[in-house]
Parts: sequence; C-alpha cells; structure tokens
Amino acid sequence: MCARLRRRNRDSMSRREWLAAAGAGLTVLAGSRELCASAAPPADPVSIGKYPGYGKMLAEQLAGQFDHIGGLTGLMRGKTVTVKLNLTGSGRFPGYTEGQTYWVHPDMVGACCYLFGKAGAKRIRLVEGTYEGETLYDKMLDAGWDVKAIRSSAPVVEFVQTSTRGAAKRYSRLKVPHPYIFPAFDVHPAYEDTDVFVSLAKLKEHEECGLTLSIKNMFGVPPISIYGDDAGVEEPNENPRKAREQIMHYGNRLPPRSAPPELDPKSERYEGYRVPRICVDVMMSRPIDLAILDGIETCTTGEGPWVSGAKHVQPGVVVLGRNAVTTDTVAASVMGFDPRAGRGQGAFKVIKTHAETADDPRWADNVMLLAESRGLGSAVLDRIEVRGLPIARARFDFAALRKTVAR
Amino acid sequence: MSTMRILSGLAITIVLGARSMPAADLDRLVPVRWPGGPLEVARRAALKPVSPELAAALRNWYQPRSLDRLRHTPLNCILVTWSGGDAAMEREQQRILRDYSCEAHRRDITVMALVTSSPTARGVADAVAAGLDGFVVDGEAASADQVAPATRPLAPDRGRELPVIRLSSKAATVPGIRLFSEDGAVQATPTSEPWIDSNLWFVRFLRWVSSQPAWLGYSLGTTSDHEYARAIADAAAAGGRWVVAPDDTLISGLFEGTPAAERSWRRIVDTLRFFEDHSGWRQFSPAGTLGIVPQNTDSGAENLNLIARRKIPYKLLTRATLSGPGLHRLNAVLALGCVLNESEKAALRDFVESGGLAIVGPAWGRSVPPGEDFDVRPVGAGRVAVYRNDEADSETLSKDVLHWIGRENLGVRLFHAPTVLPTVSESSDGMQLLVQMVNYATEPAEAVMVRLAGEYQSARVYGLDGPPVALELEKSERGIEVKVPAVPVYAALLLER
Repeated sequence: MCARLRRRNRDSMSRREWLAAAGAGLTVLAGSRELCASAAPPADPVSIGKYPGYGKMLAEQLAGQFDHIGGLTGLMRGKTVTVKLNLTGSGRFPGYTEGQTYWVHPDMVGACCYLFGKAGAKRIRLVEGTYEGETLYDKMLDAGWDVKAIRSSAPVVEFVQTSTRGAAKRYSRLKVPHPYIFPAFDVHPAYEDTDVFVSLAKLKEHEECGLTLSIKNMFGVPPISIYGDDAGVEEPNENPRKAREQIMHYGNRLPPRSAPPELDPKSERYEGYRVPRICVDVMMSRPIDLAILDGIETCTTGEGPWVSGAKHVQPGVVVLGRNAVTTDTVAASVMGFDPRAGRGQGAFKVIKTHAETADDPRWADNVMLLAESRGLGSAVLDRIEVRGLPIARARFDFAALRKTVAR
Repeated sequence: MSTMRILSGLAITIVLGARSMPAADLDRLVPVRWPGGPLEVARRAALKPVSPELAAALRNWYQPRSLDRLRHTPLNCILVTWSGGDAAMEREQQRILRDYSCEAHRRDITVMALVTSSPTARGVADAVAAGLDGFVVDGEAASADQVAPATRPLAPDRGRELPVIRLSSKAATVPGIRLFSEDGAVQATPTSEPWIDSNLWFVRFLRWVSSQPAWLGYSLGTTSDHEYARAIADAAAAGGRWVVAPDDTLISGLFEGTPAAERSWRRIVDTLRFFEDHSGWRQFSPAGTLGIVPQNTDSGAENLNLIARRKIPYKLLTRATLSGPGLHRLNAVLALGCVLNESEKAALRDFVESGGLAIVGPAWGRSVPPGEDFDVRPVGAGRVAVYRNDEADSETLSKDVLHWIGRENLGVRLFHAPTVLPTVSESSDGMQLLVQMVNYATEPAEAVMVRLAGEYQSARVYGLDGPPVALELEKSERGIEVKVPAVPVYAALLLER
C-alpha cells in the first residue's frame, strides 16, 4: 500500500463507500471521524447486570436482564435460534480457564440455552468456527466444558462448526445491503436457516481492532474454507487449516472465484481499516437479533493469551440488548472507553507490541460508528436507554488498565 | 536436539570384569545417585561453597546407616562417587567404598561407580578390587565403545561381565512446561498449545532401539515432591527409569533425619514402588494407528518428540516391518528419510491401495510441485504424501500428520488435557489397553476425558496415591468415553476388552 493511497483512505471514504452510504440516506463527513451518526438509527435499550461470578444463579439473573429488554418469549417462541459463540483461539492464561478469560463462559452458554428453551425456542444451534476439522462439540470438550449439560439445557441444542460446509450440501450466499468491503459472503447455511440470530461474545479488547464485542464476534462467521489463507483459488477448500489473515485482514488475495470478490481490491489494505468494515459487512448480511456480552470474567489488553501483557480481570458485568450497535456502545462505555472515539483514538489506538510507523500504523476504525453510519443502530450514548445497572456503577476501567501496559 | 541425544542413551555396554551381571538383570535395577565421601566434598567445593551441613552429610555418607535408607524400598542400585581429584584422596575414597560396597552387597544392593569419563584399565581393576558391580558414565566425555577396548584385556579369561552404562544426562530434558512471557503466560498463538518438555518419546525410542534398560540421568534444578514424582513417572510411563537424584537439601535432610526430607523421601519411594508394583506394564506393546520408521537424525528425533507432543499414539517400526504383515491395524506410516527398496515400496503401495496413508520423502520418486513443501495424492483407496525434503520442519510435519490422520481416527484421544501427554500400549493378548498420562503442569489436570475407539468392558484408573478406582464407560456417537477425575502428576487408565 503506497503512502499516498493510505493518506487518501485515512482522510476520506472511497467514492464507492460514499455513494453507498449516501444511497442509504446517511450523512457522511470527511476527516478522521469520517463517519458520523445518521439521522435516527435505532437506539434500542440495553441492559447491564452485575454478577458476583458464574454458577447456578446466572440463569435467574440473566432472565431479569432479558426482561429489561422486552423478554425472550416474543422473540424465541417456536423459532430456530442460532447462537454465534466467541471461542476464538486456544491456549490458557495460567490458572484460568478459557471461559474465565477469552471465550464466552460455558455457564453463560448453558444459561442462555436454558432461557431460550424456556422461552419456547424450537431448536437452538450453537455455532462457531474451528480449526483442523475439529467439531464444535469436541472443541468445547477439550476446554473442559460439560457439553452434555449444555445439550440437555433445552429441548434441542445442536453444535455446528461453521469453518467449512460440513455436512451441508451448499453454502448460503448472504448479501450485504450497503457493503464496505464485500458485497456478499458465502457462509455455512446455519447462518441463513434460522429465525433468530444471537451474537454471544466476550466483553474484551482486541489487539488489532481495539474492542471485541458483539459486532467483532461476526468476524468468525465467514468460513475459513473460503476466507482462510489456504482457501482454494477456484473453489472452497473443505479441509482448511489456516486463519483469515490474507483474505480478510490484509486483502492480499481474493477468496475463491466461487465466492463474491471484494468490491475494490485497490482500497486500503490495512487491517485496522478492513477488519471493522468487514465485521459490519457480515453483520449487515446476517443481522443480529440479540447481542449478549459476557464480561463477568474476561481478559484485558488483548483478546487472548497470545497477546503480550494480556491478563485476567473480573469486571462482573453482562451487557445485552436487541441491537448490537447500542449494546456495544454501552459496553464500550462500561469499559471506560469513549464509544464515539475516532480512528486511532481511545480504544482504537490499538494494542500492538511494536512502535507505530507510516507503513504499520496502530489505529483501527471505530466499528460502532461504521455500523451506525449504515443505519444499524445508534452509537450515541445519550440516546440509548440503559436499564438495570447504570453505566457508572458497572464501570470497569479497561482504558486505565491498558495505559499501564508498557508498549 | 542433537543426534548425540539419540545415540548417547543407547550406550549400554557389557565389558569383562569380575562380578557377573547378566544383561537381563540390568532391567531389575532401580538406580539412585548416591554421592558421598571425601572426593565428593572436594569436587563440590571446587565448584561452589558447600554448606557445613551438606559437607558433613557427604563426608559421612558411606557409612552403613545410609544404606538403611534403601531398606524396604525398590531402590537396589547405588551410583557412588568413585574417581577424580588427587591420587591420595582417590585412594582414600576407594578404600572407604570397599567396605561400603561389601555391606551393600550383603543387603543385595548393586554398587556402580559413577564416573565422568571412560574408566581406564587401572580404574576397572580398582573397581573390580573394590567389589563394585559396574560403571555408570555420566557426561559427554566417553562412549561405551571407547570404554570397551581399554578394559577387555584386564580379565579376558574370566568370562564374566561388568556392565558400563552411559547415562543420558544431557540428552534427556527436565520434564515440565516451559513458560515464556514475563507475566507467566504460556507462549501461545490462537492455534497453539503449551510447550511441554517430556522424555516419553525419547525413552520409547531408546527401548525400541536397544534391549537394554533406558536410564535417564539428568538432575532436577529446583525440586519439589511433585518434580521428583514427575521425573520418575515421565521415564516410567514409557518403560524407562529416571536415575533418582536427591538434591543437596534432601541429602542433608536425610542425613539429619529432618521431617521434610523424610516426607520427600517417602514420596519418592512410593512413586518408585508404584511403578515396580506395575512392572508388568513394561511388557505391554506400544499401540497406535500411526507407524513411524525412525531416523537417527536431528529432525528424525524432533519428529518423534513433536508427534508425541500432539498426542498421536504411534508405534515404531523397523524397516523389516514395512514388508511384513506389521502394517495391519495402522492408518498411516511415516517413513521420511528412508530410501526404500522395491519390496518395501511395494508393501507400502499395498498398504496405501487398501486405504492407508504413506508419508514419505523424495526418494519415493514423485516430484513435489514448485513452491510446495509436500504433495498429497490419492492412490487406490488411500493417499501418499511426498515431502520435498527428508528434513521437513518437524513442527509443520507433526501438524500435517495429525491433520491427515484426523483427530477422530487416533484411536485414543484426550480432552481437556493441554498439559498432559499420554503413552498408549496394549497387552500381548490385546485384551488390555493401557493409557498412561503424565501431567507436566504444577497444577493437577482435572476432568480429563479419554475417548477410545473399540469396545471395552471395564476401566480402572490407577494413581500414585490410593487404590485403583473403577470408572464408568460411556458410549457416545464418537466412541467410548471415560472421564478421569484428576491427573495430579500421573494416572494410568487400564481398559479391559
């Protein structure tokens, strides 16, 4: 990427982006805050709950939080509910389980399944990508989860790994209404064949994107058979082993010809630009009906044990809402970050171990503002009604902790 | 990993001497380093200051009362300080040891001279005169091959044998988990697991390549009861022995009879006793769906290490096995670095045609596309993976092998056990399957799930503490599953068909 092109992208949207946004009736401003709030994106309420820990009381408390946002019955009764989990990576923080630090906790998954089933969900599908042909069931088992307990927490609970097509006959093509990068994605049909889609994510930071919340969780939806580094040139690789670096993070290559290519292969290649936009693209292709953020225990300064300086923390919060943008906005504020911070500001001056250079910057775009600009939800904190615990009482200052980590 | 690492542990040689020691008897020896005497004090003082307590313990160690420590224990072979230092002191040391070894023999304890270089002809003669039973060479200085010519002329007419065992002190590794980052986080990537230092693969290789017992001779750095137990289990789970090496604190404590030392010693003895009580397990044969023809090269060694680290149960194969019936029950054969003859190639082709996977090097005769490290192609019902280079990167190779075999086809798979490595073996009649698990972390591994292919009637778990416990077998759509409540340092799951 030449410096001139990077400057262009840093300073303004591409013409295609501008047209797409304008076509959606949105107001777009140039500058470092290239995107601003649309006239009236939805500002659905968000619930915050305080939790002493995981365990048996979790479902009861969560039920109260779901009531804050209108209850589950109307949403779930008789429906197929697909829950995108956040089980990225492997490894451990010494002394802690994955669920205590960087995956959603199994108790949270079990409690949600129980409540969804109780609300009348006909079928619950837990979905997440895995590597090396691992089944989702075995991935959970390997982390010490009581998978049988989760399976029996509701009448029908299924475990589907979505890194490949699996047993499905075809991929589903999900179109992006107003795309930033990709006009459509080919994904596992579980993401299409559902009535209700839930993003159940960990509340944590992210080395390259600043934050991992319910929208960032969508990055794991596109299968690595098509969007992984060892995807085929013509067709998906149904035996994939590699992550989504070259196609999604850096745009160094295109997905197989069988899948829709990105709109503009000459656009900015920097991951801090691409990844947030791709997350919003995925979210537009597969709208989130319910966003749940597990921040009871989590990690700070990075999204997993592979990030230098990352460590376990216990904020004791769950943030949830029907709108992913408002939910993430409230969660960012709970974490001590300005949810409207611009590129390279606040949470989006991202965590990396090396010094910033012109060719390798340390910024990311604010995924919530990008989503807001597409009309997906409001990132204006004052417009969002917070129910349950007030933000100030729930706050756990990730921002301050991040500053203590020498980089 | 150096080639020396592989070779050094093999050098168990019998030289001619005074006391009879049939090779088979070596297998019953349970060795312990037993340093002492004026030579030991002088040797240590030359390296660093020695505390008065330790000096007193070492100086007076070779008195009969130290042998009382071995009473009612499995330990039956002591490695004593024998040579080094000035001539007068050496003579004094050996004079002390003459009486001491006599007392040891009276108690049916074998006494071996622990030396750091090849024993000279004179040294052998002195050892014979002192009634010692053999030599243990510790260090890089000598190989048994160098020892033999110097000693043979001493007693060629006696027709009796004096063993020389070369320890693999430097070749073996102190077992544990290696941490990297300052805050103690295990170095990892989104798809990696903790780095485990283990000797399981090494001991298995030693036993495969030689009929002699495999002794690991390293000393622990910092020691706790757990670390002693892990060192013993790490060797024993693969059928070898760690030469028990009491640290200075333990030596002083045993001499003075401190409660802490008594406790540590009891723990060591109990751990050793467990493995001696189950010595029959050493006769079990390795089980696995992967067969490996090992190569005596650096990368060959690392392949064994990393394949074991990925928990792929494997059998070691001789070249002769390739052309015999030994490939049945295998899913894959790794024969990298082998220049196969036509009959071996034909046997491997048959194996592949019937559904197997062969992983071979360039000598197979098929080219690898430019820019690729390997090329996998279907052949008959199976596949042949040809690597461009016999010295393929072991990290990548071990991942490739796991990927090609598939986790669901390993036969035995552990869940929730990132810090545990297994060895899998079966009884000669095939009716018992044994999964020995060594936990390399300081904390117990809890709720370890073992999934097995095949049918089993019962399962029992054996631990270092307490009697065996029957476990419930649960059938799942993916196989038989058994939940092992905890693997503190070691546990063995014995399944009956």
